[in-house]
Amino acid sequence: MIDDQAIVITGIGALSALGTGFAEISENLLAGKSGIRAVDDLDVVEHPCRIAGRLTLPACPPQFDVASYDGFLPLDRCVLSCCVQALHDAGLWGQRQSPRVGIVLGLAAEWMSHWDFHARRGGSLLCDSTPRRRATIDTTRETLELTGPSLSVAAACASGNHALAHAGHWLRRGWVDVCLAGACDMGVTPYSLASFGNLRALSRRNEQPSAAVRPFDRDRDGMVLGEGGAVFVLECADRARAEGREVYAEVASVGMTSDAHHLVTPSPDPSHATAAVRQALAAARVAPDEIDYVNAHATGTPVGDACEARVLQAVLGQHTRRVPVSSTKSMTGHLLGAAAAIEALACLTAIRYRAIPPTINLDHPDPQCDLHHVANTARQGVVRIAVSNAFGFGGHNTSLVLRSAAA
Amino acid sequence: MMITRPSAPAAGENIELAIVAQGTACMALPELADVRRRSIEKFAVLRPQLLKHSDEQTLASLVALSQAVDDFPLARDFSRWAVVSSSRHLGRAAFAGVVEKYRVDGPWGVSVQVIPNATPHAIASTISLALDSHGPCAGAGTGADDEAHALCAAANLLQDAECPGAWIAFTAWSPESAFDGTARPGSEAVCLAVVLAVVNCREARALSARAIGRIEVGLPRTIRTPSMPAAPEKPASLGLTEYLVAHAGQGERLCLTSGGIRIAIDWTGMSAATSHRRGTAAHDGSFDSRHSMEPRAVPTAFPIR
Repeated sequence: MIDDQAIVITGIGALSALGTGFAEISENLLAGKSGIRAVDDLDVVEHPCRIAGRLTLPACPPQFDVASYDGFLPLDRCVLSCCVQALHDAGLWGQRQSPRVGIVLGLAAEWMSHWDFHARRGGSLLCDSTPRRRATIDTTRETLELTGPSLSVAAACASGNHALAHAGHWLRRGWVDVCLAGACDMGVTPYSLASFGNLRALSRRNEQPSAAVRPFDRDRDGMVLGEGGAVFVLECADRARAEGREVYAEVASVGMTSDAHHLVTPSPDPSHATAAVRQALAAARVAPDEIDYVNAHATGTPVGDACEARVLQAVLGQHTRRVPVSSTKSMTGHLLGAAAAIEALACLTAIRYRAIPPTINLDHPDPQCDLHHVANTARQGVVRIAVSNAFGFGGHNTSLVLRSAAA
Repeated sequence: MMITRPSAPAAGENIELAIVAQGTACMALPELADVRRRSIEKFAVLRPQLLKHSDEQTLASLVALSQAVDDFPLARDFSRWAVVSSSRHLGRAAFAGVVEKYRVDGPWGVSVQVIPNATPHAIASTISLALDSHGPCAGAGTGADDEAHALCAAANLLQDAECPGAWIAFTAWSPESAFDGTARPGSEAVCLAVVLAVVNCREARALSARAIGRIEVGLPRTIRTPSMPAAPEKPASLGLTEYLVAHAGQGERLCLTSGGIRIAIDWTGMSAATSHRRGTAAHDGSFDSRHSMEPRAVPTAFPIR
């Protein structure tokens, strides 16, 4: 039984290459489907990587004026779509102005996304001295007519976990009754494909898109970019109970540390990433042997996956061979600033459907990544405690612990 | 670390932070180029190769940080400190360069450095590297008048006992320049940076006793004049970064509201024990008119190698 002051998730909104909303994305995650396709709507003929987990943005939700909605940039539309879904899912759409609803978004590269979109269409947003548009967080708060505070945070690929942590603070402090929290990113663009491609971080399996992302596999050759995000409705358990809302899970803790090593290259010292996971477990009062599932950050790069395996081996110790681990980036692609959010959703999938989404394309596990992999097909089983790691450029280390409401 | 069940504060209460050190910088492009070329002796880990790709706002933040570290009153172990940065359109020049390079050279001309160095977390990450800080680290707020996001994020992080203090960096170009084909800020622009070291007043009494100012973070309905009597509203036309560069540590008060967050800043209650430190933080000129303030040179106390 979750105690009254616990922070719980009561609504989910999500978009990714695997679909729209929790149910569709969960179904595809558990089916082991790949959302990676050839990029056919951008001129990427000369790019080293020409595949991605592209998102088709949904049409204007019926709640909004079409003309206004069409004026929003893609990242704004993605955020709004996720927020609207989440509020509806929690049964809060019609009441979103009466409780104090706050919003915390992980937006890792907001302006780059907007500048990019404008520049490709010959717009002047990038070169203007007085940017004419407002920040996405302000646009979202106003469009949704929210009455609580708003905050945007950027911690590269770990942004979504940071957002959940800040939302938790606001709820406990009573600054908000309900808080939308999550992250979105629309990072599949010619410029980002070029930059990450030149870094040799992207897979070059252009002829086999669905087999390209191979976390923990010995033949992995890099990540594949994805788009989308997830936004969650968070509130205190006592309020959720009083309102009769369905609880997906408790946000038990978020551990956060920094490598302080380099802006680009990951630290060879896994101790700070290990500390983030251990802190999260300690704060949630969870022992390693109680973990039922780890959604790894593993992007499919040779160095990063092996480094995370060492982190998990250090944290799990003798339980390494028992605790199931998978990387759902093998199906969604790497959503960059939204990775932590969509992977929190994957953990909720495991908790809700009692089945762990697999790492697809894991045909030959790398001996350097010796973990208890959920390879290629979903595994049935009750998940009470799920852990989601998210690490990012600049040495951001985060780990999220989600606890089943039935735990 | 963020725990979800700490000792619960009273519902709706404000968070009070003590400012224990501060530094500012106001630099023109040639001065920033000098920092990039020579690095900063105090931060030996930040070699010129590492700063080669840093945004100018990052470089200005390091100069302000250097001053703030000198201003820090007690022992200097920042290993568990958090770092939060708020930049204004960080990376705009770099990204304009990417667009031009892509147009001329195609995808192979795009630098691998632009994303890690020009996304909003980059300043916080660079500061954490400079100070060897391993606490939480993030950018907060992304646009004009978003400095309140960083103060709010730091206030949240300092509710965790694992995190004894936070460095907060604000940076911006003033004015924001229109770019021509060179993708460089105009020669009239200066890069501003303010760095504050803050601690939780309730948790860090030894440090907060030596505070040079205080910050309250709360909701508009909970921060009222009794806590900050006679605190004027920040003029809407003036960014907080601009205001702080001109007025930080000068015995003033200020309130602002952004994104539903209310911030009150007070430099009036400095103790006698800390008043001698005012000199390091004092500034000349007001910021009512940008042109009335001469760009401040790189502080001479800051050794360049």
